[in-house]
Amino acid sequence: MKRFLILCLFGLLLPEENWAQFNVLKGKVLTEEGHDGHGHAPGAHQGEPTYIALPGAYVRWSHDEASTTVSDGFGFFKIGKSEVGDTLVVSMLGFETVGWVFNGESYVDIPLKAGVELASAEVVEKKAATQLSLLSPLDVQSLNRKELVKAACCNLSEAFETNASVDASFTDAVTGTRQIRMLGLDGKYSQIQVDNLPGPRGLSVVKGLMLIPGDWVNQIHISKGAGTATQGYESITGQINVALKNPETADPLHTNLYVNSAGRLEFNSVSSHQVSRRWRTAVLLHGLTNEQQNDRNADGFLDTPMQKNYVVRNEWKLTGDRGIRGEYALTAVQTESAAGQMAAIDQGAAWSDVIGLMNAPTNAWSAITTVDRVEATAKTGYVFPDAEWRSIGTQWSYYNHRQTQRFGSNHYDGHERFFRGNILYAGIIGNTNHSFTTGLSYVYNAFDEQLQFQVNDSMNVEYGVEREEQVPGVFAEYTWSGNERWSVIGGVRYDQHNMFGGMLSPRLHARWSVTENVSWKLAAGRGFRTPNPFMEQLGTWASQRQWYWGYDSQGLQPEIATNVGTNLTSKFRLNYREASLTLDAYSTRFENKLVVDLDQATNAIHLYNLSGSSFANTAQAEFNWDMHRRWDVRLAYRWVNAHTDRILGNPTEDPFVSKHRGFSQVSYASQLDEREGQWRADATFQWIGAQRLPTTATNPEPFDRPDYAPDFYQLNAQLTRQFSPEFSVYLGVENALNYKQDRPIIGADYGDNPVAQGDFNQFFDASLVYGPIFGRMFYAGLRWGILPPKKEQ
Amino acid sequence: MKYLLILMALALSSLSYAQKKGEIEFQVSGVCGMCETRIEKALDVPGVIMAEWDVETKKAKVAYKTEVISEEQIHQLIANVGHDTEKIKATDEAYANVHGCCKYRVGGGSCTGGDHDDHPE
Repeated sequence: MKRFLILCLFGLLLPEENWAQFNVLKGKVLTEEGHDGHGHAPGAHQGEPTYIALPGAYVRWSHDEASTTVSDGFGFFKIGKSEVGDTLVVSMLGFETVGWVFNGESYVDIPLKAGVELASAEVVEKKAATQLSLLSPLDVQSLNRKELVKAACCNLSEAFETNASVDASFTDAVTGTRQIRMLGLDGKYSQIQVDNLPGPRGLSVVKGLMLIPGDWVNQIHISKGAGTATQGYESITGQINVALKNPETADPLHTNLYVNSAGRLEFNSVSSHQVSRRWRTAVLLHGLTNEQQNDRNADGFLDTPMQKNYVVRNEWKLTGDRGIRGEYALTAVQTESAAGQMAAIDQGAAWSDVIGLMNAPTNAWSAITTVDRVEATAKTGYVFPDAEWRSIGTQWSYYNHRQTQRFGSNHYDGHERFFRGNILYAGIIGNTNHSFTTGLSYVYNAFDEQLQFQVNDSMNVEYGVEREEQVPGVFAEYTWSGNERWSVIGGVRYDQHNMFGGMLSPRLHARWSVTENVSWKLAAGRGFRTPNPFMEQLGTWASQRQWYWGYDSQGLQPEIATNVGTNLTSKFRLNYREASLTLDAYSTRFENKLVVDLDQATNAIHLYNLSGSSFANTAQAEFNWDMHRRWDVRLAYRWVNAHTDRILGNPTEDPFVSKHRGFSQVSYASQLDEREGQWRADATFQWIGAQRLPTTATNPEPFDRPDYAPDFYQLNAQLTRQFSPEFSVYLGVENALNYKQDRPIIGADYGDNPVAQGDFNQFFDASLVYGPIFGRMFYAGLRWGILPPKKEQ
Repeated sequence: MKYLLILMALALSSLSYAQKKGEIEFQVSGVCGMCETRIEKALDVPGVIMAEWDVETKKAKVAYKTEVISEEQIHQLIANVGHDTEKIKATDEAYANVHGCCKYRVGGGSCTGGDHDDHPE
């Protein structure tokens, strides 16, 4: 009572807001932005995390249920003060409940950790441009916006230019299609996902990467080694999960314009809208056009394709009451591209006429490709209100992909339908040290490919692939995190394939924290996939090679491989500044593989099931150093040794793989000025070692090429001027050293001597590509957007 | 190429090890993450190699080049943005400029929600 009187006295003397703080505890409930995953490594301070307010969280004193209050629209709450030492309990569905001991404060920030996300891969988010986790047992590297804008790369196939773990190269010298390699193997052996759902695969395994614009991407998580069992059986060398901007993370509006000296003009936009209290939506647009005809090396072939691409995506996010969460998306894709000899493409012709060449081949060689695709996905999750560790999630995805192309006089018409349903149940055994995810999946994948090859002037061969795969599967994954220094994820899935029978895919990941700042990880796993050679060997279409099938006796077999690897990550201080060193080694061994043999003859591609061994061993060292407040440095070196037994004693070394690759990157960012403007500069310098090329020794001059491509250097640089967080412009150069592959197209006339039509028909090959075709390329672009109202902190 | 990379690493590290360095740790008054940003930003000046302030222990850790900046100057920089250090108390004018949330002196320090648009960040 005495205390009350004193308080009242103070209340008379002090202004009201000051009075209030004596008997009211105010505070704010927050969560770290992008709340999907594990917390930070202790001691591994990575700059200040950004927090967003959590409205609707329950706040109460542990002993007094009647004190319950709810945080407001900005995450703020007020609650009557209690005795020092009492516990404040803050809870919200989908987040870990927090108990906070009252110490007499008048204001407190209470951060909540996300408990359950919609069956997402385990990822860690920090502010460094590329993040490594010391705590997740998975070897995951996360690239955020800061990293992605270092190269104003236009789509996913170009986004890995600043990354040492993924190699990117062209499939051929005419279509401008890029492919990636991970752990020394083609991108088809990595499982590429978009928002944790199946991404580019099947017929779009190569092309699909070009249909994900960089400005749509929020983060890319690269996970080396066999991935988790919950997301399917197709991961062999790793998982790449592309997290697109979604209705929740996207700014109200983001637009991007890009133009380069090859004539490519691009527009990208993402806008998000709050539709109702429960629903948010985002519209993502992409348009690309290139009608400029480039032939810098004067070989009569376009260096870059002429093209028009359109991609539209609409996403919906539901934040329902009582623990319901949903994400729904629709995507439509339409692309057209024309490449080949300038003579085939009438100068100044309207675009419709260019594509019209599809049905009217001339003497000149041309390549026309069109893609039509629709995609629909739905994720719904439910968190049990009384038990936040328990959740049920469903993931549905469907796509219908149609691709037609004519390369020279060879025609292809492919149609794929894909459906996958995944039901996941997550829970714990006893306590949260033992958690598990288990579920059922069903995959339906139908292929209808019609091919027509011209063998010679009078003979056409027609070929069809019709295949229907139905794969019900069951999986379980157990995570043990009972000890701070150890954690283990063990998973297994069993899939009953209608063509290949039962397939078992075990996966194991373990992490040991040797010290607080040194973490050692192990990964092992098995995976399988069905090959689709016509679309996987896209580059071969740009040649006169005939396709030969060596697997007729056994039929089409799945590709099966086991991957084991280890990773040692250490974080430390160098000259008081944060630094990290990562060493890893992975080995992939195939039980079966569809061997691609380009060495049998220069006019043939042979495909057959593996007999003997096929493996890829890789090792990588990467050093990152936050050298100065303004300067970051990255150095990396990667080694690959990949061999496949081929028939008739053909070379075993896998072609188009550089054994050595060195990588260095320097980034600069100036101090933010009062409008948060900034200058940024990035430079990436790479050394790509020699690569074996399929032999052309039997070709006469000038149609032969060396068996090994020379090593070469690549320098990319970019300067960005951010005027404010809403507006920035950038200017950059790719391949600044202007390195060009020497005479990339066999059969083209490089001025040595004129090529007869007969020789061209016999020796033409534009698929033996190891380096850049176009040479130095400048680009410029701008980003403009509307930011959300300033967040509270 | 390997040697080139090693050389680059050596060159970078020798550059930064060439000068005399000091490391100090001292108490700085403050409340929250916003204060942390303000304090660390104040020390974003030539001569300071690394500056961190811990919101829980209220301790600032600073590594600096002794030939470029002095310990007193470091304390002064922090006081200039309104935070008291062990050695230098912020002036009332400087303290008046810190955001309402960050009022660490007796009688302040409460966020009331609503608009914070006047915040210096």
